[in-house]
Amino acid sequence: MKNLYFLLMIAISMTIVSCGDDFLNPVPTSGVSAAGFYENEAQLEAGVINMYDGIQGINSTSTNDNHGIQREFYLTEMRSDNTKSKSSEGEAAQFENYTIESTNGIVADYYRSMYDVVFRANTVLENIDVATTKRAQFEGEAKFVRAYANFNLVRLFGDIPLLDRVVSPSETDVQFTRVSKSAVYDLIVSDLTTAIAGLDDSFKTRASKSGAQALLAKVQLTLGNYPEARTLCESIVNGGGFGLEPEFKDVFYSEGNNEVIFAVGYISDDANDSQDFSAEMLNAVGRTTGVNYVTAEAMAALDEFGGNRAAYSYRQDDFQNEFYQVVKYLPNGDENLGIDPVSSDPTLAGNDWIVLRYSDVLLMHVEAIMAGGANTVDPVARASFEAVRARAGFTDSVSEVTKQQLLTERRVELAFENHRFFDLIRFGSAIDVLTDFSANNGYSFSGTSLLLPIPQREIGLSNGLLMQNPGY
Amino acid sequence: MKSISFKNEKLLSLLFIICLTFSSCTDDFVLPEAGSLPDNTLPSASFSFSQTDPEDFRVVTFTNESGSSTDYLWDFGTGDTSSDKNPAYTYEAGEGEYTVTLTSSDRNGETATVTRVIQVIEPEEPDAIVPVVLNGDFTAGQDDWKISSFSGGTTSPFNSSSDGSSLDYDGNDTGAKTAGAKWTQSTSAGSQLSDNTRFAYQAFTVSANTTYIVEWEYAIKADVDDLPDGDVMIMQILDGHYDDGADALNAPVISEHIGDQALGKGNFTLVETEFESNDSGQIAIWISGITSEDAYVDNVKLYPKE
Repeated sequence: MKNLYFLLMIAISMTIVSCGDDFLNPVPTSGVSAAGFYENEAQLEAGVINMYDGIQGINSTSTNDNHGIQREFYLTEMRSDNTKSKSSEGEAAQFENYTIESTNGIVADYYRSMYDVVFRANTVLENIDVATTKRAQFEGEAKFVRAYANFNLVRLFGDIPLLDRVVSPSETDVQFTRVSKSAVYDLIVSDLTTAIAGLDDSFKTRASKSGAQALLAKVQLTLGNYPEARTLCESIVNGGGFGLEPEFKDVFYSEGNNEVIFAVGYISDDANDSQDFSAEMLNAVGRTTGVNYVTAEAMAALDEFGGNRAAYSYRQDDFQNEFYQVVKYLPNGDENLGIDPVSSDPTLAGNDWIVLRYSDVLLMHVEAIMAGGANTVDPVARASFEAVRARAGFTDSVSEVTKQQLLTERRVELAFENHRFFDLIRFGSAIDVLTDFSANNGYSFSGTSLLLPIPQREIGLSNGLLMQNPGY
Repeated sequence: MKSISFKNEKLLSLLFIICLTFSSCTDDFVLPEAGSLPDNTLPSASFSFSQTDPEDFRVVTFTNESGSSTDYLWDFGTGDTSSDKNPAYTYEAGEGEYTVTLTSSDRNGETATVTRVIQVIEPEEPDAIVPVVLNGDFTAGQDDWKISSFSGGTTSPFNSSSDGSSLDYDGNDTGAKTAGAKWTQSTSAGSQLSDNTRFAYQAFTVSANTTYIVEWEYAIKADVDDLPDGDVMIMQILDGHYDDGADALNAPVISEHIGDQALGKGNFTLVETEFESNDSGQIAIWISGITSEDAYVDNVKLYPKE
């Protein structure tokens, strides 16, 4: 009986004094997870930097990693008449032949990477309320990055799933419903407009006001809104914050120079922050035997219209003289051209990737004034055109600029900077030019080749929701 | 070991053969279509189009965006058809609306059709280059009107004169004479051609095959009928640019106006001559005079016809 009372006392006391939930389930202090992160502005800044890390991508040879924009040249330059692979084999050759399959790993890599970037931007925006003094800046940066990723995706894939907030893995309808291009562009324009209002020009490897203006100008040109594009270009041209480098070589080998508006920064010989696209463009230095090699058509255009830019755009391959390589991103230098090595290990290159530069803005200015016509005789347009050509060594004045002349000038000025494919589409010349190019080289171009296939893995995961692009 | 008796053996083998006969395969052979599922993905017809030829706007390239189909029949709306996958078709009739129908079918005989009205649009004329005439009112002396060289002649373009038109370059009457260019008997061409003959020359780049107007004023002091081909002022548009006056003299002429109104010194006649520029867009103005007295030119302008 006494024992019974004793036991009863213990039982009652145990019921009253039980452990609280936070004693039994403590939040780990050494292992950080998103659930407990983003509590103050400093942590949010880490999230902001994380977005640029996503754009940078991982420098690795594993195909399962997200390589960010390091693989972008396959999807743009190699699909245009500017470059091709050296050996015409493997997944790389699918791009130049226009025989891309929905199982192509490089396409899947880029798709994944860009949506990862969108997720990182959405994460910042979800936690934007912890920001104090830098709220407008961080919101601007996140929206710039989100618009940048969406712009790349919509131009390459057409209608795409639109993610304007962080979604959970169970929300499959949002992840796998393709939204019309016009709705995607509405979000891009709105995001960039907010970014322009909230940013200044403090950074070149992070979002800036001029970067957002230049990117929005390109978006407006793509949509055919020429007056808006012209105003945006003129904000930059008349703003005086940027200028053309006198030496073309310095644009690429003098990091953060006055012509660069927005670039993706890399650090030499650093395992975490370097890039490998420079090495892939060389002969068997990277994992491939050589890709992004220059086509005969591109060389002919550079020789005829490039002026002093040709020497700093392409060169002959030392090891296989019948091939020609891109010169703008050499990691290991070139004595003949007076270019110093950028890193000691060429596969850990530090060459930045320039997304927007002042010369592009000048040429977009001409395009905006031309407003889709066959030519322009406007003196303001001619002045911008002449400025770009003067740096290349063509000092004569022009009495008119035709659409074809502008397209060619963009090709030789911005060769191998991932613009050619989109320029051809914007100028309405893609089908015409690429059909001829394909016929001359035995490739298989057709109108449906202008869009990439949605990665097969996504189609499979979507369980019937995601429809593939025509032709794949 | 006890062997089976002969009689049992025979009975057994007989039974065995009888069993075989009755238990032979009676199942049907498995045909190739066993386990087939019906084709639930029917063809869908869709296409896009663009005018892709920069030289000829009537060429339309069609891009086939049909799904799950193998054979195609296009009807271009003009009576012509095609069974190519991505045909290019020239609409001979030019600008307009055409009803295009695409029928996509698969090998099961299922079809899908789409009909769209497409617009073939003629692109606008490109803007014409507006050339700038330098020293068109002759207020800057003989600047800008000299040819680079002249074998067997002089590069002096004219005599500078203060007896030009009373109109300034914008067409406003100043009330007094302005600067002009003068020709005299010693600088005349034609029957008076000598190594002192003066020609005014200025080169221009204009849009090819476009209508331009050359506008100028001239005055002739008197026509005394002592010259077989005078007294006139001659405005010519030459085909091409020239470095040597001797070549310019023999150059092909796109347009020529011979002004013969002898209204007296200071009484200018305004001339506007239309002409079609050449394929290269490289033209030049070439002015000369044939006179025994004095003849004057002022306010030379060159612009595209609106």
